Amino acid sequence: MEKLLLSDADLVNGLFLTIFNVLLIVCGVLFLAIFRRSRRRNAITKDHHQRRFLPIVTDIIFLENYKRVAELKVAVSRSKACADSIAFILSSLSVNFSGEETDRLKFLFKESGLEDDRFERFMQTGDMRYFKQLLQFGAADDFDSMIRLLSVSKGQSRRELLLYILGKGDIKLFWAINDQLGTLSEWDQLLVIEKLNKTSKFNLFDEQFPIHLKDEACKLFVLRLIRRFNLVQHHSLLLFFLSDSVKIESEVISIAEQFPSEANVFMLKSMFPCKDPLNNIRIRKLLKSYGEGKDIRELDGKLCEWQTMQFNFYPPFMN
Amino acid sequence: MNKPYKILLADDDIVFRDAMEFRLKKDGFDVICATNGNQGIELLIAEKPELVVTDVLMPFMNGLEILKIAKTELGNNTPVIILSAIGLDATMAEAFRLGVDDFVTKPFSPNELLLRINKIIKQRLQVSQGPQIK
Repeated sequence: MEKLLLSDADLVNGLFLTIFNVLLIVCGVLFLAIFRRSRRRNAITKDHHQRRFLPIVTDIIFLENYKRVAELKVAVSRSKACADSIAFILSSLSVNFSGEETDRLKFLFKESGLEDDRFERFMQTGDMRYFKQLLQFGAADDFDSMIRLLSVSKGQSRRELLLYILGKGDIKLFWAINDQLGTLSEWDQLLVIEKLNKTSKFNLFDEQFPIHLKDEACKLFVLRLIRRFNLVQHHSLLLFFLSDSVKIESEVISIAEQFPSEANVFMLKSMFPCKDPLNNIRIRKLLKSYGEGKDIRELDGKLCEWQTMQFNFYPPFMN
Repeated sequence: MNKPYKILLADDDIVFRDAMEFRLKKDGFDVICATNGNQGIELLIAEKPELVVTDVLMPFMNGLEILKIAKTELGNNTPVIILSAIGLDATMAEAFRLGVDDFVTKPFSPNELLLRINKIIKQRLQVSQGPQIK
């Protein structure tokens, strides 16, 4: 009897569970169907709006038919979907076209009242078109906007934004992002150097500078600046940059080679011996050019000692 | 009346493609459009356009492949202009190696593109008419 009662309870529980599961599946299927339908409808609406507004935009930018601007204004004020479509069309065209067409697109952005929403539109969609357009038209130039943009951008947009920010030559922005220089390729860093040369409004080379530098890429970046722009007055700072990095050693030696000075002797001696044998050869050559024959003999002894030490630490395979 | 010059325009960006189609038609060209590389090749073979303007990055087949087919496999040496958002040296070198007639980096001025198209058409006409005897 007891056994029968238990199985009844199990039966009831099982029944409830089955009904619950069936309901759950039905709800899931319904949700999926509604979601797909609304997505399809949105796509159709977007396509419809684009087909509707593109002829108006092309009429204005290619034929200068400014009477049609009013139509865009009305559409933007009527619904968000229309405003989004028009913003999408204007952004798409502005990243592809330059010249007088861009000026007309700028004008359209302003006139249709879409100018203020560009930043938020990029933040919401992450679409590169809005991003490029922000940079192209110089919007979102304030510090907070830049940092916010940087926090959400990835990949190519991040690279473009970093180049844009660094190219502005603003010290506050530079300090905020200097640790991210390493994410840029060496070629991009050189591009930044070129841009800074044209626009820089700050002095990267005060005495505090090397202390603030956080990583190797940034140190390398500043060393390239010193070499590229022939900043002889900042050679005393070179010593602060020295680290174990072969790239940094090589860059410092390149500076010493490019701008020979007796003041470099102490720094070069302190660098010796370098990890890279080629750098050792370059240092010897430099010291020789300064007439430091005695020092070279000293350094050779130091190198010999160092090599023996390396040999002892890492003995070759001997049985 | 002269027959309008037939141009194949291949680009996957609908907005840009439609706008360029409008601009080229306004200047009296007969424009056929392709939304991807495959369609571009199909139209190139079927419609035999007199000039191809194509983007580099497109679905299924890229612009360089269209260029290769237009220049080598079809044998009629159709002039090709490449439009590219990425003005990478490697892409540009490859395009010129394959015999591209012009390379335009986006963003560009539509007027500039039209000048380049007209220059190519003029050159082609001169070649087809042969040297003129004064």
